[in-house]
Amino acid sequence: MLLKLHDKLTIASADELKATLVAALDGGGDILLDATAVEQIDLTGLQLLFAAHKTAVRNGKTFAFAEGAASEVIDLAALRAGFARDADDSNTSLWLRRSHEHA
Amino acid sequence: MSRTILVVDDSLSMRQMVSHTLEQAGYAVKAAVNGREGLEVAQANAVDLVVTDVNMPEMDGIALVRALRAEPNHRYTPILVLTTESTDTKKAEGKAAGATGWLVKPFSPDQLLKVVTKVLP
Amino acid sequence: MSTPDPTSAMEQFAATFREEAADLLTDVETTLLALETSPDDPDLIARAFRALHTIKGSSAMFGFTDITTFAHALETTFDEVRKGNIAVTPALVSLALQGKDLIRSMLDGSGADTKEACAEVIHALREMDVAAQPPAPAAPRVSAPRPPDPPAVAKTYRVAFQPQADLLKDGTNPLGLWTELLELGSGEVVATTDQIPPLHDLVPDACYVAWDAVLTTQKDEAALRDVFLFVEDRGALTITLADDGESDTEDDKKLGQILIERGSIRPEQLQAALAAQPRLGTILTVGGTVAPDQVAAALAEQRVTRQARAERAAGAPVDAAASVRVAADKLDDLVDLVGELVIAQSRLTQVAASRDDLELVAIAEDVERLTADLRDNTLNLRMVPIGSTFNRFKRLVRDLSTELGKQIDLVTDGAETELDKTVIERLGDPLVHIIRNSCDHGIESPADREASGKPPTGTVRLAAYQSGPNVIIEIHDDGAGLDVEAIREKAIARGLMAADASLSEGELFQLVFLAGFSTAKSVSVVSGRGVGMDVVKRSIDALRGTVELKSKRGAGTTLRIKLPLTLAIIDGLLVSVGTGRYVLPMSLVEECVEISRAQVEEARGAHLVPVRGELVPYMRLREWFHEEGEQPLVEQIAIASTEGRRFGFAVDDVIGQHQTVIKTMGRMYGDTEGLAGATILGDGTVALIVDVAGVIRNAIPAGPPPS
Repeated sequence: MLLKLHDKLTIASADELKATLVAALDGGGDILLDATAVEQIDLTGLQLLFAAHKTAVRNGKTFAFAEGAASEVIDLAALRAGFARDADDSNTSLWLRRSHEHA
Repeated sequence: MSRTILVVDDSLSMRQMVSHTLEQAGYAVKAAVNGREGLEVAQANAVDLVVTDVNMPEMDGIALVRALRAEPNHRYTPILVLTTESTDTKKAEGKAAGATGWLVKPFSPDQLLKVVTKVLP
Repeated sequence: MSTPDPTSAMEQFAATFREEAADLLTDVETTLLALETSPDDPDLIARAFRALHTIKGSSAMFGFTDITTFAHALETTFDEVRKGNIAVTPALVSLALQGKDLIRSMLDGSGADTKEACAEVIHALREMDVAAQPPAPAAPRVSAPRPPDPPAVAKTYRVAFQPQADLLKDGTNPLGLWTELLELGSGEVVATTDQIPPLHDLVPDACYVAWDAVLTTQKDEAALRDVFLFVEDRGALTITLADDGESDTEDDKKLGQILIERGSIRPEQLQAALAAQPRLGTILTVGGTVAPDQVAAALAEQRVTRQARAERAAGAPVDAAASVRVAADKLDDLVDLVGELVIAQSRLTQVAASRDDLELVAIAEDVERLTADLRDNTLNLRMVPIGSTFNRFKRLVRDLSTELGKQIDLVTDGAETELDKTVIERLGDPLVHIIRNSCDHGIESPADREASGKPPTGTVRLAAYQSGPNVIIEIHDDGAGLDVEAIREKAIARGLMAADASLSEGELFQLVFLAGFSTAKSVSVVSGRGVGMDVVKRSIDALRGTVELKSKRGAGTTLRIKLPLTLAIIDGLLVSVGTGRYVLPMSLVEECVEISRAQVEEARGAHLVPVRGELVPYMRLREWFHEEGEQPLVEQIAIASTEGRRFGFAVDDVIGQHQTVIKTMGRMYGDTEGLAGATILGDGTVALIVDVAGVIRNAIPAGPPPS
């Protein structure tokens, strides 16, 4: 299913985002995110997306940004928060550091 | 999307300085002259950050912080307390009431903006 | 972000402050007069205190520092009054009124000699305070311009913050902390995310993350601590020095050492892991000793420290541009010149050795050492990180995923691995080929993957790392793997192997690199990768590299490319054939054996030599290069190994190991089969470098010998 994310993924609306993600995961299918509307994300938003991704992967489901529907806001926040990773085998992070943009 | 910051201070010059600095940096500013008025503005508007003086008539800054934390909309709104005390008691009082951070007067416009950037999500 | 023209704005606020303070002073006056009649009214006392407090705070803001100091003294006294420690007396009221007048003259800037009067009032107030309570706290910090930081060396710090779960409850935004920290210098932040629970158990406003940062900065530790000022009571902050900014010659810290220093593992755990070899990060992670995030944090530290040291070694301050751009051909010219120098130097060494002159020998040794250093440094100039080529592959995989209707992630590792610029330039096309194959033929469709119990999204992993004098590049996919039986059938059908030949799996896999193994049309049937794999192999050969293929049915395929760090230098085995001299790349030569005329005759024309129980085919370089002269009674055979097969080169004599700079050959020889280049020996003669893989390909085009 395609899940459209709201403009603010911050602590004030974290309960709401969790409910949305739980409902989506309980649906049992693969989830593609449309993050084009996201204007703001904080640690709670990152944690929720991370947890949803982890849970989905564990269930053998896809949890990813839809083609062309990723969000620079989210990528930047993930980078700032240290969530981005140079990928390796054991890693299932939703965020990958793009080669050498850190510095 | 510009963020809205509520500035609460009974001193006109301080209000002007803080508001002007924030507006120049692209924030939308709402101002109030004491805690009670500040609370009313915060209840009626979406506010992304509150910058408040401590010592004010009617309702002081510490009481405002407590009142805001009791509002469902502002449980997590970042609040900066402007204090003249460099000693720890006032800061501790502010933190205990639920403030996010503080700024000790005197501060420069750049220092203000730096702290604002730091606490704004 | 700063206010434009802050000076005039500040002047305007100062004007507002003057008016405001004048009003407040009027207010103070009225309040004080009212206090004379009702000295115990708490509202009046609070009002006076607040007015003085506001004057103090605002005057400090707008640069009226004399007022700030003075108002502070008055405010302190009224604070004591407010607390009930000092009673309101007529003396206090008249002192306060006097103070109010002084502030007014300071505001107007009229009273020139307020200083002395202020001192008197403050003195009188102090006496009242002393009578009442402990000494007044020191006057507030007045905005004196901070002296510029002394020029400091950049040091590298580890900054770890382990917050409490309730970190976010008062509106703290931890992301802002890290942004602010990184603005102090250059570094990296790694979040430890393994405490984030499954979605259903997650409490949305709790903080589950801890952070490790590595920062190279000229600021001191206190400045780093300041960043965490608001949260220091909401978590554990540790700041330690990872690199003191002094050494640049010291070896980079090993990952294991960093992990121990960071307290992520104990020394004995490291020993156990090291005993198991491969790459430390992988072992410790897979073995569960250390969380992946901790390894990631340690790796970040290694990167940041290394960069800081490199920048220091280059003698550049951390913040300044630390590089100079040089045209690539200038660099190539330099490498050529150094090559000439190396040759001249080795002639000098030879001549010196032949004369009985100790002084000359000593000089020759010095020149040799300096030349070697110069050569290494020069070649190092052409080293660039491989990461620049990685970027284009991300795009490629994205496009291919869409095109093929598959879900494929490309992950890369070791982007910072350095290789000679010319190698990297020529590596791009083969890698595109390989990755395309992995996506096209390796990774299955999401439906097929799910059917075989795999996650629907396939992963292609591109990793580079240095291993001794080589760089290893691995391309791994978690796709269907190669079908060994299909390859065998295919190879037999194409006449690449005998129908009854028994080849090992490794040998069978190597067949896909042979020209004519497959065409695009048949690839999907074979479910292997075949499109132009021979082309890939040739490109890698030309870079003096080797390719190995491993695959497990159902689990995926790994291509392992081993490349020399540079093309400019070859570590070779120097051999002689007749009057000619040849160099075989040392990386391919396994061992040397002898073969006597009697053994050759015994073999009755078959070019096979027994090497530890196995018959290895060989050919004579004499015949290949049409060298004149008599074949010696005992020949030397250099056994080379490539593509999983062994092959011998019969030569007259093995002279020894020879490291030298490769000269590209003129266009005339460019097409000569079996030659990879030339080098000039110490005595000035030319030796030809044998293209071992090329010769083998031509000598035995029909694959491995029948056994």
